Amino acid sequence: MSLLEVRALTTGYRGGAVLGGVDLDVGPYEIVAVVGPSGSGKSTLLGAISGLVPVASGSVRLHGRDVAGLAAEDIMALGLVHVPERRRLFAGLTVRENLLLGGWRAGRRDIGRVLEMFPTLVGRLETPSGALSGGEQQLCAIARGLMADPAIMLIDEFSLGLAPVMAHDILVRLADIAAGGTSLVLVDQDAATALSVAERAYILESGFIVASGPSGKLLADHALLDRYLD
Amino acid sequence: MPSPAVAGTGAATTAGAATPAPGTRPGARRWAAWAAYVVVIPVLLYLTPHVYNNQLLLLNLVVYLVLAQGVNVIYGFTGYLPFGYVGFFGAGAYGTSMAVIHLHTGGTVAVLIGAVVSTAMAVVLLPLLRLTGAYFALASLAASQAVYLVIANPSLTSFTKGPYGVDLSRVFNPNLAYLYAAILLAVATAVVVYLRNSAFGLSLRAVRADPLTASVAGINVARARGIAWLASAVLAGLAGGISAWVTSVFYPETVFAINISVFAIVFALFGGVGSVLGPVFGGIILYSLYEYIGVSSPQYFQFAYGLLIVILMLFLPGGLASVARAARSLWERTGGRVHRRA
Repeated sequence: MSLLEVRALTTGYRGGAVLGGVDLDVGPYEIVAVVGPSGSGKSTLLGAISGLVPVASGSVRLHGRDVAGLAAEDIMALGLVHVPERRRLFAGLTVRENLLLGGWRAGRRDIGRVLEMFPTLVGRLETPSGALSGGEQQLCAIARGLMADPAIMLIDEFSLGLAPVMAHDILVRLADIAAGGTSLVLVDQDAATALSVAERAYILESGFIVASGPSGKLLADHALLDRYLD
Repeated sequence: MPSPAVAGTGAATTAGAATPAPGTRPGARRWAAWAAYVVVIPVLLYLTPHVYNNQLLLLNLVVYLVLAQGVNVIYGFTGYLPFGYVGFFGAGAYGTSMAVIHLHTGGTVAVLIGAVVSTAMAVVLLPLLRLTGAYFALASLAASQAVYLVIANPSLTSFTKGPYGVDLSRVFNPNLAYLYAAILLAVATAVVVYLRNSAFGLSLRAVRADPLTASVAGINVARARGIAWLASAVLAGLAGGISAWVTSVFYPETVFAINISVFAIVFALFGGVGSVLGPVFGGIILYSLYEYIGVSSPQYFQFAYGLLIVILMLFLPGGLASVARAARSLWERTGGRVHRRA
């Protein structure tokens, strides 16, 4: 059974459809990528799943329960964490406070576990998160999400603005996170980066899934990549 | 000597005393400092009439300090600037008055009833929290004035005494009221200490910083804002009740004067919102200046006080708390920390 099961999901802004009926499945321990050109609806898809964007129709099942229409904080409490685009840390709060907020709903205050995964943050705990580098901010955002010990985490544009070395470093950590039991849905404009770590992927174009399958198979289809990806 | 209803005062504070990250338990030394903040200042203010024999002026000061802390709770921790904050003060004052006049209660019970009335008003106004920024500020102001107009309506004279004012001299007890005011200041400061150190306070700061991200972090944004709103309304209602109890004879325009909101906000801003002691010290300093200028140079009062506030806001936007934080940071980076390590 899928951990996350999305069926015929539609949504939109001001009457204009952004998603035209998306199906998506994520299983335990799995990393799934959603790639596509700018404006294809990737961030909207994640928002609709996590409760930030109203769902017009369709279903979003988490652990078999339909969560479409629930508030974001309630979906989060059920084990789904969303790391929004551009990290959206609480810039005026310290790294420690950001981490604590990640575990707020679950009542988790022990930040030691995530610091073991992200030792870079140890020396930055009392630094305002707005003063971190882009890479550190991304690590902090992911670490904050992991504070809730989620079953599944949606990460939007995780490589945006990062140096290749830092992006690669984060990719390695993402694989470790999935191996530790948190499934991941990665959205990224850099398809090659996302597909390099994901086991399966969906290609989104103008609000519709136009292709899906194992990442290796999609990466080998140069015609497909040329047609749909930047 | 201006009462909160008719005069303003001001002030602001220091703040900051470094706040430990909520989640790490503050040490014994830190708790001792918080306890001192909560207890010592109200006790000193309570004892001051033995040195400075003007209890009414001091009571007005304490009431304003409570209002400044109330503004601190709602603005400092959620970002909602309540220009209509006086509405809760006035509701508390009139709730107290109605209890004395119609229910024939004593002052203590009447003040508590006043707080219930102001809280009920806050519940009714909860939908205002859907607004943000200037829209919220103006809507809260309009709501407070709407309540004022209802109370001052001559057709309700049999119940509210309309525009003709109320007389609570039957229960006049300034000493007890002053004691309650000092206790209320301790409670208000304790509330802020809690918000500075608790997970709930941290969640409020997150909501203020970015409501959307706060919601995906699992925070119920509407609930968090609502609790802060109600807490600030209770403080203002109790302050209004105590003020009414002492003032004894007053009119609707006395306890619904916009000046009350303005002064409470200025005191909090000058001291530094989000800090524990900022609004207290800010209130004491500005209120003292208000009294000094008003007595020594009454002809220049409006000009001098207004200019002072503008200058302070231009050059000290973070309030006195930011100065205290900067000084503390400098001290830690230089001699102080080196000495301690040695």
